[in-house]
Amino acid sequence: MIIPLLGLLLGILLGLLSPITLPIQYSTYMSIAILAALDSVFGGIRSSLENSFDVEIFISGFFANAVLAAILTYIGDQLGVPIYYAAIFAFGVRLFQNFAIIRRYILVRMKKNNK
Amino acid sequence: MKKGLSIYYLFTIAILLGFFLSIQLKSDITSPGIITISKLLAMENDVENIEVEVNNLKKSITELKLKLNDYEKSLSESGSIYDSMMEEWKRIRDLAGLERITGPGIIITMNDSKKDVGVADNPDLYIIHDIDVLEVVNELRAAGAEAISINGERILGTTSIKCGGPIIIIDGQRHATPFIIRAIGNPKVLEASILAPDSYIDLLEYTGIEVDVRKAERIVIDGYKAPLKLKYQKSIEEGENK
Repeated sequence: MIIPLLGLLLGILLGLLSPITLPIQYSTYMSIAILAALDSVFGGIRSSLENSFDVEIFISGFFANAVLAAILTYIGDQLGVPIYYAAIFAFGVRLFQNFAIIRRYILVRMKKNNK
Repeated sequence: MKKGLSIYYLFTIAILLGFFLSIQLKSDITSPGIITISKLLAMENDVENIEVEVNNLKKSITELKLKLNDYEKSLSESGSIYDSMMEEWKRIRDLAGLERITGPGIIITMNDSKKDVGVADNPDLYIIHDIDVLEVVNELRAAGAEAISINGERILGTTSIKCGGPIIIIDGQRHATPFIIRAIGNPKVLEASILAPDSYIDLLEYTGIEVDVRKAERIVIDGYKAPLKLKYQKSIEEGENK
């Protein structure tokens, strides 16, 4: 659990130190990318708790989801319809589901340890 | 899959996530939010205003270019820019109200009321005050009057109109009724706005103050007579910022 958090901190540090800033028209793409990464992290934690972690599924899921979300955002921009909401909902729902499952695993483990 | 390996992939993705997050936060993006129709209209309005401003600036560029051309022409023709500078100087004097000028306009004659003042009435309402003259002058200016004089006294931007008891004091000169206000501008527009319902003169006539408005094809207005002095103000050199 601690290693992903360390990674998060390292990433934030990297981002703060790097001179890159984002033009405003790409901000929706970036937020979608953030959501995709969050989704992948939670999915990865969940699957590693279930001992069913698969590198291929994990990596391909991250990139494929991010690309699909970016395409949806682009189409939405062209049409003037915020289609990227679909990606937000999908990622968001899965995020909470994964989080709920992770919570249950951790609670079960804590109860076992207490016994 | 071994658990040891999965944690490193998670680590990598977490780095990416943190990187994205901090970039997004650092970029200081104020989300425009949902663009409603009213927001859209306000933005359109802004754009229009800016376009008008741009057009005005373009116009002033062409004006300045023409002026420059004039200077260059007179320089090449007579070897000096004296003539065109003289012309400009005259124009500026006209604008400042220092020259005797002529043009179409209206003549307003105002006189105190000759009605009998009732016992309960306020006699103040039946005579002309400084403020009445000021209001009329302001209305003339609003209607596009280019030059205004009261009893022959040229009214400038710095002119003061004060109360002096039974008389009014315009730039230190005493003036009594009748007040003859001459204004150069579009006679029709000036008359219409001066006599419009709810205009100041319309209100004055309730108390019987006599106001006569005549259009004229040719009015002559003298220039400002007293010398203009600048005691406190100084001009600023171009680019100076204090």
